[in-house]
Amino acid sequence: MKRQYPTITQANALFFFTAVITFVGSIFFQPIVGFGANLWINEFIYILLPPILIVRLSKWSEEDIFRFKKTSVRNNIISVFSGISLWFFINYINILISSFFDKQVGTFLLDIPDMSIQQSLFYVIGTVVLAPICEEILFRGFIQRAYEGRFKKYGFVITGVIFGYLHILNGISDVIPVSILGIFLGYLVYKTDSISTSMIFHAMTNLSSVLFAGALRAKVGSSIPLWFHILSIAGLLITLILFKCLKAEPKSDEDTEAVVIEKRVSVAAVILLVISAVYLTSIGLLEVLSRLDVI
Amino acid sequence: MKKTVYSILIITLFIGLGLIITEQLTKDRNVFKVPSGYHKEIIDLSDHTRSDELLFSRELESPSTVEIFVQSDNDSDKIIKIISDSAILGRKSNEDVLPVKKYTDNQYVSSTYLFNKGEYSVYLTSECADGKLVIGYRETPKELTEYERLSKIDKGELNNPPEGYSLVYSADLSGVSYNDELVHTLSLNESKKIGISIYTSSMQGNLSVNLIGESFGYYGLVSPEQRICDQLDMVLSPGEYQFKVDCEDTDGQVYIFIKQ
Repeated sequence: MKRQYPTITQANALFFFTAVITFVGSIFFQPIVGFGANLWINEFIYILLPPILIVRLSKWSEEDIFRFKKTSVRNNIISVFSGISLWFFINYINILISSFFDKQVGTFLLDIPDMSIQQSLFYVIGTVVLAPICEEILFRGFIQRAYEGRFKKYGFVITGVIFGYLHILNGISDVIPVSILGIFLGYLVYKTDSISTSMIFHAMTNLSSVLFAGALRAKVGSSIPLWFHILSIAGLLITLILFKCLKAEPKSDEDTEAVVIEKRVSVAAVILLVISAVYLTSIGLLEVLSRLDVI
Repeated sequence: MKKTVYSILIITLFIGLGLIITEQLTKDRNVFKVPSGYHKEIIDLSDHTRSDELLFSRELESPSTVEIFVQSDNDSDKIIKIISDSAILGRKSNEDVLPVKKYTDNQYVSSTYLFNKGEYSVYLTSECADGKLVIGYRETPKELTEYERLSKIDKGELNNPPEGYSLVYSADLSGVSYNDELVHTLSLNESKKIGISIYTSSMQGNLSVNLIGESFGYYGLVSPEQRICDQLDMVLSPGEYQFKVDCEDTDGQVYIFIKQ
C-alpha cells in the first residue's frame, strides 16, 4: 500500500533545507529588500512552499497531512486565550535566559535597522499572520505528521523541540521558550486534530509579543519584580487549565494507522537531524563568540 | 478550512505587493533625511572624479559647535575631510576624516566639532559614479565661558563639568587594561531626559567608553581620537543603563558626569 504520509527522513531533510536556506537567504536578501520584507520571503518561499510542493508532487491529501480540518468553536476560543496567556510565560523564560547570557557571557545586540512604515507593516503582518500559517503548515503539518508516524503519542514533543531549535537563528535565548511554545502548539494539534487551533494560538502569541514585549521589558528592567514572576506563572497555569478544557476530536488517521507507522527511524533521518543540530549549534556559537567579543 | 488558509495567504500576498509599491514610490521621492535646521549641500558624484576637492569653506566669527551630517545613495568609498584653521577641541589635530559609503533614509554619518573662531573647510574624495552625496551642517556659537571650559578639558583639566552635572565616575586609566568593565549603572524608574558628559585626557592606546541599555548601545562616546563628549542629551525609557569601559595601553584619566 502506498505511503500516505511523509517519513521522518523527509521531514528532517526538509527541516535541514529550511534551516540553511533561511539563514543564507536572509544574509543575501535582507540588505536588499529590508528586514520586514525578508521575513515574508522566509515564510512564503523557504517555509511554506517546500512542504506544499512535496505534498502535491506526492499526491498526498493536503487536508490529511496539514490537518486542514474544522474544529469546535470552543477549541478555537481556547486557542485564542491560551495563546495570549502562554506568551507571558515564554516571554518570562526568554527574559531570564537573555539576562543570564548578558550577565555571564556578554551582551549581544541584533543589528535591526530602523524600519520604514512599509517595512514595519511587513514585519507586523509577517509575524502575526504569515508566520502562524506558514510555520504551522511546515512544523505541525508536515514534520509533526511524519514524527507521529513513528512516535504517535509524543511526536509533537520532538517537533516542538525542533521548532524551538530553528529559532536559534533569532538568538540563543529564543530556543527554550520557543521549544515550550512548540510543544504546546503540537499538543493542540494532536488533541484537536486541526491545524486551525495551532494557527490561532501561534497568531495570538505573536500578536502579544508585538503588542506587549517592548512595554513589558521597559517596565521590568534588569531586576525582575515579584509581580512579573507571578504574572508569568499565572499565564502558564491559565494555559494549562484552558488546555484541560480542550475538546478532543476523533483522529482521522486512526483507521489507517497500519499505513503510517514506521517500524524504525532510518539512519539517514538521524544523520540529517544531527547535521541540522550541528549547523544550528554553530550559528549559536557565533552568537556566543560575539557576546565574548571574540568576533 | 484549506480554502480559508489559502485565501488569507493570497490576500496577504496582495497586501505585500501594495507595500512594496508604496515603499518604492516613497523611497524614490527622498532618500536623504537631513535634519531640519541644517544647511544642505548636494553634490552630484557623476560629473567627475574628486581628489580632496574643496566643497565649501565657512568663516566662524566666534567659537562654535559644528555638526556635520552626511548621506549618499552611492555605494562606492568616499572620504570627507574637515580641516580647521585652529585646533579642534578634543581632537589630536585640526583635521578629521569621515569615510562614507551608501547611507540613506535613517542611516548616516555624523560628527560634532568644537571649533575656535576662524575658517574651516570641507573636502571630498570620490570616484566618478552615479549618485549624490549630501552634506548637512549646523553651526551653533558657544559662549566664551563655555569655550574656555572646554579648552581647559582639552588641556587635561577634566573636572570641569557643565552646570548641573554630577560626577559619577573618575579614574586614571594609565597602565590599566579593561574589557567591558562596568563602571557605573544608571537605573531609571520612569522615562527621563538625561544629560551625559564624558571627558578623557588619554591621547594614545585603545579607549572606548560605552553606554549600554537594554535595547541599544552607544559605543565610543569618547576615545583618544575624540576626547570630549559634552552635554549629550537623550531621553531614556525606564530600565538599567550601564557605562562600560574598554581600554588598553592608555595614558590618561576619564571622567563621567550625568545630569538627571
